[in-house]
Amino acid sequence: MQSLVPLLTTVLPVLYALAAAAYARAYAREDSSGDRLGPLALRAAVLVHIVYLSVRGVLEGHLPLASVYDFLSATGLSMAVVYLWVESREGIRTTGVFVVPFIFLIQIISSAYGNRLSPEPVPLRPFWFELHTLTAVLGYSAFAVSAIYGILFLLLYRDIKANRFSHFFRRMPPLEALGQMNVRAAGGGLLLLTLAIALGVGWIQRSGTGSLTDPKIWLTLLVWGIFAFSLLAYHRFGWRGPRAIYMSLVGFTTLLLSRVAVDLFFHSFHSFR
Amino acid sequence: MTSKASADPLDFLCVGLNHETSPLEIRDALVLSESEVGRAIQVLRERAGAEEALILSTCNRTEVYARGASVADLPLFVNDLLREIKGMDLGARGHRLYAFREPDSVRHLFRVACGLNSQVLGEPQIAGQVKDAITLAERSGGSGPVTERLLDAALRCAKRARTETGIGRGPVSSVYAAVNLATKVLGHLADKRVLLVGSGEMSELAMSHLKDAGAAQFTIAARNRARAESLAARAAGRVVSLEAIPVVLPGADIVVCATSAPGTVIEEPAVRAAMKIRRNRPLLLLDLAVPRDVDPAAARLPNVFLHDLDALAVIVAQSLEQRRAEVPKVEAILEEEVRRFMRWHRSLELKPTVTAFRSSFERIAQEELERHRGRFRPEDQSALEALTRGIVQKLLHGPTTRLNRSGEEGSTGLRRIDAVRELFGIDRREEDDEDRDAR
Repeated sequence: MQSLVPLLTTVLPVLYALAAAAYARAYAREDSSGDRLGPLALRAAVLVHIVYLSVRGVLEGHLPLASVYDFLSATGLSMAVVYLWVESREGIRTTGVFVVPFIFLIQIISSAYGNRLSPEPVPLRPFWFELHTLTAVLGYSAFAVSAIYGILFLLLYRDIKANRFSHFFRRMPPLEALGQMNVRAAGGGLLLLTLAIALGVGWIQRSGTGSLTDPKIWLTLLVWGIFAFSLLAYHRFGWRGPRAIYMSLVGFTTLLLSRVAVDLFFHSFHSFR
Repeated sequence: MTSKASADPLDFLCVGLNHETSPLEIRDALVLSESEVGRAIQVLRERAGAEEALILSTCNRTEVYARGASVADLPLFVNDLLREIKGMDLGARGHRLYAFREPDSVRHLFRVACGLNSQVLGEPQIAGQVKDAITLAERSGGSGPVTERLLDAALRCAKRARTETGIGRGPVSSVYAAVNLATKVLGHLADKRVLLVGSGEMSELAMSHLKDAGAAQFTIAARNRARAESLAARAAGRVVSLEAIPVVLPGADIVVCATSAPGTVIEEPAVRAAMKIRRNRPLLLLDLAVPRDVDPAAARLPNVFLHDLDALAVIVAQSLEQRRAEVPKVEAILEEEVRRFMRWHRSLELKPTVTAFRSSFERIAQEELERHRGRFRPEDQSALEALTRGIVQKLLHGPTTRLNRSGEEGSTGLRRIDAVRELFGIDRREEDDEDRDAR
């Protein structure tokens, strides 16, 4: 089983690259309504990814989320799962070309730098703390997918306003659909992040490990607040279109910066160092 | 083509005029009604000796397709026929009909059916018009095995062109481009509310296309109440006056403006106020009027999409360019179908069919003789061969005689030839032989 890990570490980015290429090919064609190669390739990559993480979990005795590269790999997988869910729900495959390359990039970084079994870190041992980590990963992935759809919305919005009707215009789903995908993915992310925060705070109080003054917690609450406000503004204050999208992108940017800041500048139990 | 119209009774000829060769006034004057088509087909059969004939007459073309016509100059005959029926002498006006023989006549019909010869490249209506032409020909006694097969092949070619290429993709009219844009901005239109400003032809066309795209809630604001109500009745919509536009505007997701007003009908402040009430839900304004009905300043408002005829013309131009890029693919399909049809058509020649028919029996006899040769004594071989030959000749005599008469029996004879080829697999064997030779 141990020999599977290096093999799958190499195979995974290749599978995601093939899926990205299939989506790119379908995007380039004017009519790819019958082209299912991209979704099939992505599903195959997701399956192999689940096997990879399962094998590592079995060998390491815990969820493979102990290093930043593990986290990246898990984020890539959950982004793929979130994207496939959005794709099957909306019936729109032309946006895969913008999502799957990110997943490939994330996985190739993880595979290149994190391809060794990691030692068992203490905080990850309890199951429900692992659940906290999982829900956080899923939440962040949903925000990432939301951000991609937000950017696509802004690009299409500007093109339509400017009467630019290019290949991009023809291949994108309706503007309203992009907006809804952005909102739904952000909504899902917020729910998961809420759960992750609750589980995390509960664990701190129970275990006595860590502290509520941890900067990561406050930065995460800030991210949570931004997304909560953006969704409230969307539903209650009539923030539609670019304004709502920019707000969600502020949230995602804050999320990215907070992750980097925690790892680079703060020594906390949340840091991977 | 002014030489003898039909040296070969199988030859399918095409004579006609279209939007590329004749102006609208001529084409308009020569559109044949159903009864006139029937009469023309009758004349072609009785006076031109055509075995089969069909006529395709639309606003963009009037074309006569005929097989077996024995007149010396078919274009001249058709010119006289049109003068007789419609009272117009093309020759006297300096216009000429074009004419094609096979395979160009076949190729031309296939090009027409695929929309390659239409004013709007790739337009789909022509295939339906071709289908109507064969129906009329059947009713008028002009159809036969060749026209039926030809029309089947033309419609199959058109279907392949539409499904295997992008020749029919994208909007090619301003109104259709507007509807296309509506679905691109707003997605499904079933729950979207449409405000039509104006009750003229453009509004009518817009409503029709929007309904086809799924929109079901219409409000019509117009000065001419009677016309507006007639339009509204077709879509279970309601009618308001032009003055009520600021009141109904907040409730509309799509606004199509096509009035003949000399100035703007919808001002920017009204749109701004409407957006506030709508809580900034996206609003699509499609201004199909000249001069424009909507204040251009409205385009600057967030979540307001304002598009006039110039913007829609960009979409139409891009669609046409994409369709032009698909033409080589359609031509390739077309040539394949022309070759397929011509192979079948040529197979209806009598002599090769009779030869192939006889050969198929003789080949079977020879094969069986060879297979069983070992069971008989050498001295019995010649008697055996004579017996086999005799059986084959007796079996073939009757059918061969009747088949030989087929050449004089017009369409009935052609059907018989076609049936024999199909029943005895002659076409399949010839194709296998051709493939083998090619290898």
